[in-house]
Amino acid sequence: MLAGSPSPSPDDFELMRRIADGDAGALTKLYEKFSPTVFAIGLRILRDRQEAEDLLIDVFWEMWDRAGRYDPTRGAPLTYILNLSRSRAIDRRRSRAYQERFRNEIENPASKSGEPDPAEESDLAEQRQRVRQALSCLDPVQREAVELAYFEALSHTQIAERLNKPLGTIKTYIRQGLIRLRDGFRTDP
Amino acid sequence: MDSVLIHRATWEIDRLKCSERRDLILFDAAGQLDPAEQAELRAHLTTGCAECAGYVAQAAATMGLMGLSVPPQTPRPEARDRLLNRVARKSSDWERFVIPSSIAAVLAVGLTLLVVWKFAKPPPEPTTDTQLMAIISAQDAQIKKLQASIDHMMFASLQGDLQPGAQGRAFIDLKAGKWYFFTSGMKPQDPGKTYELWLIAGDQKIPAGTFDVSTGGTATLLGQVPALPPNAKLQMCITDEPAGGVPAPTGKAQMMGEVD
Repeated sequence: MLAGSPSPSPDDFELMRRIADGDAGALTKLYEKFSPTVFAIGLRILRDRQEAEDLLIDVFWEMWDRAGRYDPTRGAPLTYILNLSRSRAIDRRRSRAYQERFRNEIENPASKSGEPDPAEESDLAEQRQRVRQALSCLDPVQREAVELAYFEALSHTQIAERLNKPLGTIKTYIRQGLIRLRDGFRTDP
Repeated sequence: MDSVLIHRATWEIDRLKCSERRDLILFDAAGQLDPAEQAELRAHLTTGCAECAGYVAQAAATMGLMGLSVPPQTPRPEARDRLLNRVARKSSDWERFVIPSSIAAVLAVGLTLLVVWKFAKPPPEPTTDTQLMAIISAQDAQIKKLQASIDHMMFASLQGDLQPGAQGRAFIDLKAGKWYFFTSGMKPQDPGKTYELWLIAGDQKIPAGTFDVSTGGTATLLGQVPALPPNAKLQMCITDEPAGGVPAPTGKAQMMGEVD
């Protein structure tokens, strides 16, 4: 397995295959497993429950309606779902409707998320733990810079302005941080 | 022996370059490359380098996992219901319109005529003018019936130089307010791109849906006929667009055809 790849669950591949065959039961199972993760990413990026819920439905709808797009040779279903969720959330956040609706709140990153959900399948919970551990190894500014790049899709110039740090410093922070995370997410021996 | 060593050394340099690109690929996945670095990297990736393709998958996995850093949150049960209702609606649409009944009827009539023409025994030669007139009259009636069954249908045949060998066909059922499009022989869409179908009515370019072709180069689309300006010349066109589609065409016309 590639370093940095999530541990693929054979069940997830099977669910994706069944979804491509038009099995709505498989979509429901995948939704039960991953909806709390997709919804959490939506809340973190969009900071609004309704927007996050709309995103959640769009992401799973896309997996159903365009199931043929998923290529198992390019990565695990979890990777696909996480990247699709982030990408669609960023698209939504950049949309004119969102910008107009949340004009005053975009610059104020106060989280509107609800209570965490403790129940989760063990493979996902283990990976989540590994990710948190890797992130905790970054120094606070480095972590913040990486999170701004990921959750807000800001460029290094924008992050330097947001954190009031020199551009070169931020570039180094982010790049070193990403490499440390990649090594930290490593799942193979 | 020397040439082998030189070849090997060159190969090692190439390998080193790709291993150096590993980090750049990660930074690119995070949207953190300068434009010049990005251009160089993307140019290399278009060569189909297998090693770098592995790094791209790895970078995607690394970036994806960042999404697990936020604690999971339970959505409202209504969200699941909304999704499943949408799935059920789409499924029933498909059951109803996989081949719209009017199109099926036209195809069935056409197929029947083809089979009859190809395989049926020739009718006995008419022996009298009366018999001949009766046959002509029956054929006229059949042709009129066939025309009546398709006079609310419009057709388009799409082709284009950028998709040599590919063909697209569209059937527009004005009575049912539905259109049905299928294509074959199209090239796979480029990474990060999708194909988008447009209905062009005069100077209006109406997006009619995005699609990705199967490994065999085929795709089908169904849609509702939008409100069209009266007497406008109708055309259909396929462009390549960024994944997800765009509200107005930006890519090159891959295939095009008039609707009549």
